[in-house]
Amino acid sequence: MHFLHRTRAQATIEFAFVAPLFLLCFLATVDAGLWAVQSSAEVSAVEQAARLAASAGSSPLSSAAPDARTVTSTVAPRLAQALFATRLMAWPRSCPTSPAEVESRFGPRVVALCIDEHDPPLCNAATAGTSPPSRAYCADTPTITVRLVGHVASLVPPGFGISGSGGEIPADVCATTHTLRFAP
Amino acid sequence: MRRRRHRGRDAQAVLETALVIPLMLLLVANFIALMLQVTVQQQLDSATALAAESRFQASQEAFDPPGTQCCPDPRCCATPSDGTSLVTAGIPTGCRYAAETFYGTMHGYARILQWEDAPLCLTGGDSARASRRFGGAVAYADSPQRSHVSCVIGAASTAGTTYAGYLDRTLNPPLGLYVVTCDATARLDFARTPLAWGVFWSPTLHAHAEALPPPFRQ
Repeated sequence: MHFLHRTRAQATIEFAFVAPLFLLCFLATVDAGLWAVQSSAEVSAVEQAARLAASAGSSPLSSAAPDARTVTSTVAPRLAQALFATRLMAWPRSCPTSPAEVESRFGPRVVALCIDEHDPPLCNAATAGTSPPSRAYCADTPTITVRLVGHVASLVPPGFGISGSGGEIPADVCATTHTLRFAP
Repeated sequence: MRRRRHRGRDAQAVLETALVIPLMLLLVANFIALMLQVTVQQQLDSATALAAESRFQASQEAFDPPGTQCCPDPRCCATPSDGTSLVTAGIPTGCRYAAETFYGTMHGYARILQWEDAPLCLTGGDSARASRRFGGAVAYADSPQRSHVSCVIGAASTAGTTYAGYLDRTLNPPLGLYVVTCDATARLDFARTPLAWGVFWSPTLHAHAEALPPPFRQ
């Protein structure tokens, strides 16, 4: 009788000790796989968005960067399939500095896609007392930077030990490329 | 006698736990490392592909004048100009575009990658000589020698001299087609990550991308 009690107690203690650890390992494995799928989709989407943004401005003669909403709506269907419990938004102005900025604006588990266009300096922009810009840079084509910033949902709180937020992993994927603009 | 048997069972349980838990943690750590490797490889592929394509945004005749650097200021790259900026004077502008695209895209994993640096700008090369590095392409005389990405820039011409691109014979056998290629190699160093305690391998990642000139340019 005493022996049976002792064996059961030992099994319970073993289970109580091992079960949470096993669950944590299991969730961590699932989370790592999920993170890889999400990251892979993010990298593909940003690459596609960079190509799209580099090839299509608001018009072929425009010197303005393409609208982030248009590019976002193009890459969103593919990305939405991979983003588990995470929303995708278009960032209206110049890119946010950190995932926290996206969270403070849109709330948790949101990634924002933004587009920055950097034009080269004007060739005749020299003013008194300053040296004129190098001809090389002023003849450059603009660069387009597409960034996907925010927090994606995670199964293991707090964000796999990386993020300060609960149940989220920070994401910041970026692609830069040169583009052509036929502005006069 | 019975007490000794109990003690033996207790010891066996402790031993089982002591063996299984580290093994389980080791498996999880290595799985996470593998996922990280896949993600970094994809980012490297993406950066290399965009770098090769961006060459065509520069004119064939455009060569960088003296004093030109890759990443001269934050408008081009994620990192501002510093001592490690690549001096691109005297090489095709397309090479600088490729470098700016690559560095601007591949900035997220700088801490855990050990780059295998090579010349930035090359000419020549043939897929028939694939056993040689870059298919036997040679660096431009003025090319920076320590770049994370190496590109064979084709059909660049200056002062009556035309520099050939990489001849890929698999595209139009047996004559081949001249293409732009970019290569990047880096070692993923898990020792610099929190996984260092359980991951004892450091894979070398390589990305190769080819780009054909868009038809309207031909």
